[in-house]
Amino acid sequence: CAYRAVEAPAGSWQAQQAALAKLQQWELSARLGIITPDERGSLSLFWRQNQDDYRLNLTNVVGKRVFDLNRQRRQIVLTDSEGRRHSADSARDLVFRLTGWDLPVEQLSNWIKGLPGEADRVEYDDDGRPKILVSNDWRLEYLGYTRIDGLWLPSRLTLTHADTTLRLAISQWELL
Amino acid sequence: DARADLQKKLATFERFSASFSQQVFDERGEPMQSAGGTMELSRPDRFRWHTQVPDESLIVSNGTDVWMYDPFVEQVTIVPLAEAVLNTPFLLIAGSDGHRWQQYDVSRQGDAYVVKSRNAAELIKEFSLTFDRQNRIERFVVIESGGQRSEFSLSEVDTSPTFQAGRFQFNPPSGVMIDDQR
Repeated sequence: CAYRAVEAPAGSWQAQQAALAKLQQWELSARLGIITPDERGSLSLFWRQNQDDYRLNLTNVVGKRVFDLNRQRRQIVLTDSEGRRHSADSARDLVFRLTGWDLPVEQLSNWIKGLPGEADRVEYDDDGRPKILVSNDWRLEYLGYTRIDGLWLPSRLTLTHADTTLRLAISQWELL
Repeated sequence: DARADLQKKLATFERFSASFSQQVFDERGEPMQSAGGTMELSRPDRFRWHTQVPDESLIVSNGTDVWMYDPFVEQVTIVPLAEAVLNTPFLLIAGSDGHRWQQYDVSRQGDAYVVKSRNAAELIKEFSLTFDRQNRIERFVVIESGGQRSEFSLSEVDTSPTFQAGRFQFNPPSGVMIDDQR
């Protein structure tokens, strides 16, 4: 017999999860705080995602580029603060090699939407949205959400991994 | 010549305050980060750069040392002025004697003064300064290698503000980490 795709009840986590998975084109502006045992600072992050391609642009407090990470047609290129271009197959290795920061870009592009990976262990808040997420040695805590076009999207989260803490305060979401 | 003109225009004020809105563009002119706040200057080299939106941060210079307060990570970093990672236009505007200008070429493009560094290693390729009819700076644009551009539009410009004593000092709030790099 024919299966009719049963639309999950609106407002349920299943409906939210499906919508988040479909959301493949978006932009966000955020403050990214980086706290490690020997470094503490924050930068202004602009992130534009388009399917698997992305641009992550980080500037310092007066707007000067720290780095610009671009993935287009499977080519990953990072332009550093001196304007030098570096490329590699893995964005995470490239960022780590050049800055010492561990930034799992591909996973983060889902986590930052509030969409856990299949294998991630998740605790939900009273409104059925992810509150705590654990994935291998990453622990995320979602501290606030904002509602955009009927979708809950994170506005504040912290990510901890080994002795590094990342703080994200997302001031603007744009769904394209 | 254009450089002398520009220095003369800048010499018409010793103190300066304005609100700024800043927009960063990528190399294709697509908008990215934006911010806004106030900037205050009292030559030589005393200034407050207070970003208020979307997140607060404060840079204060007393002419010798620069405090960079970042409430987002509850820290203030103190560095000697020479090492403060600011952007060149502001340092040039903030300076009082002309020696900093030696390493720059200045040309006119329409109503903008375009300043280029002679030192190829300098990160900032070029910046431009535009004045309004009352000789007040209304815009400066910083162009980085690769074409990324940061545009600062100024409003509520005052070229003779009065600053209370201690305006260019910074006392860290309690509980803030102090990273003194002097």
